[in-house]
Amino acid sequence: MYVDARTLENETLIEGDICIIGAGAAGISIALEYMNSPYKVILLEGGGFEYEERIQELYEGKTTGQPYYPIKSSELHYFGGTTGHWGGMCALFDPIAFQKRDWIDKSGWPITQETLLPYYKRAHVYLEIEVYEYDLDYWQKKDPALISIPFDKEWIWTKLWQFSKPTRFGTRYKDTIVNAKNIHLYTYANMVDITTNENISEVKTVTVKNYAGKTHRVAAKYFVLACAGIQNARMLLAANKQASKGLGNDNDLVGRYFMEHLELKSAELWVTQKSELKLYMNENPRVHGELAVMPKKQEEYQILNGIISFTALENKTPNYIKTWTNSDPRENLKDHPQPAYKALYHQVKDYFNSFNSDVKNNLHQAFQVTLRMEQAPNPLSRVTLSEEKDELGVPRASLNWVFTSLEKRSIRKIYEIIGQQAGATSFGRLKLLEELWDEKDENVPSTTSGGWHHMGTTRMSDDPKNGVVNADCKVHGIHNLFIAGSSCFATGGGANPTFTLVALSIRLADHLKEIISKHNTSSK
Amino acid sequence: MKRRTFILSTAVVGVAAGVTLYFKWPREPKWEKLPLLYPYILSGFCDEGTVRNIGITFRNLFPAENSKEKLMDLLSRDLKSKQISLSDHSAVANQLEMNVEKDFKEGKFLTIKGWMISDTEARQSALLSLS
Repeated sequence: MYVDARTLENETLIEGDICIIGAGAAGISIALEYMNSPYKVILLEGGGFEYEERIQELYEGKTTGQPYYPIKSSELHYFGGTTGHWGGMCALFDPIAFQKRDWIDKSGWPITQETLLPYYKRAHVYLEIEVYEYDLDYWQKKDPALISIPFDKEWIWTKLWQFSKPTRFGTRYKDTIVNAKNIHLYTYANMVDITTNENISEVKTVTVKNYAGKTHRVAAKYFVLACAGIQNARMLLAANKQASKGLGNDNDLVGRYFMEHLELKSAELWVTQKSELKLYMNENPRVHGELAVMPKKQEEYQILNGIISFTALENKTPNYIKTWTNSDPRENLKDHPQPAYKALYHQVKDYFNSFNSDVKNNLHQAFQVTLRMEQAPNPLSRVTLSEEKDELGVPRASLNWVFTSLEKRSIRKIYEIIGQQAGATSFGRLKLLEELWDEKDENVPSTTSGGWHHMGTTRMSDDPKNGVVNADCKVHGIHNLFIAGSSCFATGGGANPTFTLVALSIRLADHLKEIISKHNTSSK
Repeated sequence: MKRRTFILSTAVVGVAAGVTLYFKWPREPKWEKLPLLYPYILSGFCDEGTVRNIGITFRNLFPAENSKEKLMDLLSRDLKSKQISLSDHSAVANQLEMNVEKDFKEGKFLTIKGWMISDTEARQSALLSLS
């Protein structure tokens, strides 16, 4: 069922069993888990079914610290959320990502990879990836041309990725959600406030607003905040009428520990035998390998988890932080037309390349080396509220993206390990780009990009002094408020977050079903 | 065809053929003749000027090795112990390649001008820069 909240009579009270705030990958996954259940699910979306500039503008915010993308363009604000410009890359978080690592302050989740494995498998269905298989041997048997780089297996392993189409949740699940009898989707329902009981242990209602000047309230037994990594923190902090520091923020943790995946294209790998590196090329439509440092070596060198990918040097791409600068996400995604002389140059080059057997066989001498690495949890890297408010009266988000000294040391060490392995196996030589030449420079290069992965702002820990939510994604101290999404991640792992956040959301849906059935009530 | 045009055309074709042959004629790579001076793998990726620059930087970083004698001594220790003659270019090249791999395995490598190279390669580059 679908309702445009602008058409409702002002101050309508909407009631249900579960209220999910936000219809992105996390919110829609949870809603899908409740299809045909006896429970009435209210799914709130701030925008409509298409991109609208005025709605997106509500996500405007400012950034300080390390250069970052415009906040407004890094999370999408319409049905389907940021899957609207998602790349589709999926990989499991490694077991080490969940473990307490003595050399990384605040590392360790209250759950293990094993806990999430069954949910990863279920997430594959929503992400429309056919084969749930992340074992390299399986894919190499299917395609013997997927050859691993022959580095020492005690040092390096090949981590496998699979690709979603990518599934755009907005278009793929619109009809399913709209036609579901027990899922009540409200568009143009921007949450602006949360009201709790007197002792702030239970959420009673959330208030939603829109540009039509309508204000409504939603009452439910359980609430799930699924507004993406920056907005989840912003909404909790902004709900400060009853709790002056914001909801769930008794220990001043909401918004802190903002993490991204650092992406650096800071090296080249030159190989002794011209190679295709088919396993490692993004052109491979189903699976894709990247090099990762073995957990034992991460421990030995006390470094963060990072992954190395390759692009043929002639196809190299610039660091995203230099190109994704427009606050309108659509502008950043546009292919800008080439000047005529460049187009002619490429035509001539392609003609001569057609006689070149290396080009025909896709053999390359050199590769751009991209490092994608988790960020160490850092309380100073945080989302706070700005003094400026959006058009609906909610304070805007302010992001201060900063690092510890561990990031730079890890970047250097990971590249060094790859360089050492390339030399020790005579596979080739690694060349660092100038931004990494100065060994004494502890700063992360200004060209460091993020992956548009917003994590950690409502981090998970069983100890309320270390986390905003517990292992079940429930906000500490508030029995019926849950958080879905990558804001719950305690560490960022080495992989993109969408797959893991969908798995975590399905797990949360299961957990909610369990507690709801215990109370055995439904308002349907 | 006029005589003048014929001569001019022949000259142009001749020069073009000469230039092509000069650049394309197979020659023994320098590293095969002088393996001690040319780090084999690195020379495949960089031109001679870059290798020389790497060598100069290395000598500045490690002044104790800033002499032909010292570098020759360090590079040829294994060759002497294995009784490999410097005139046996192929054997020298093989031994140096093994030394390079061993260097990397033992963590004896450094970064110069961005290139992560073994100590042996750095010394070869330094020796080249002195030649």
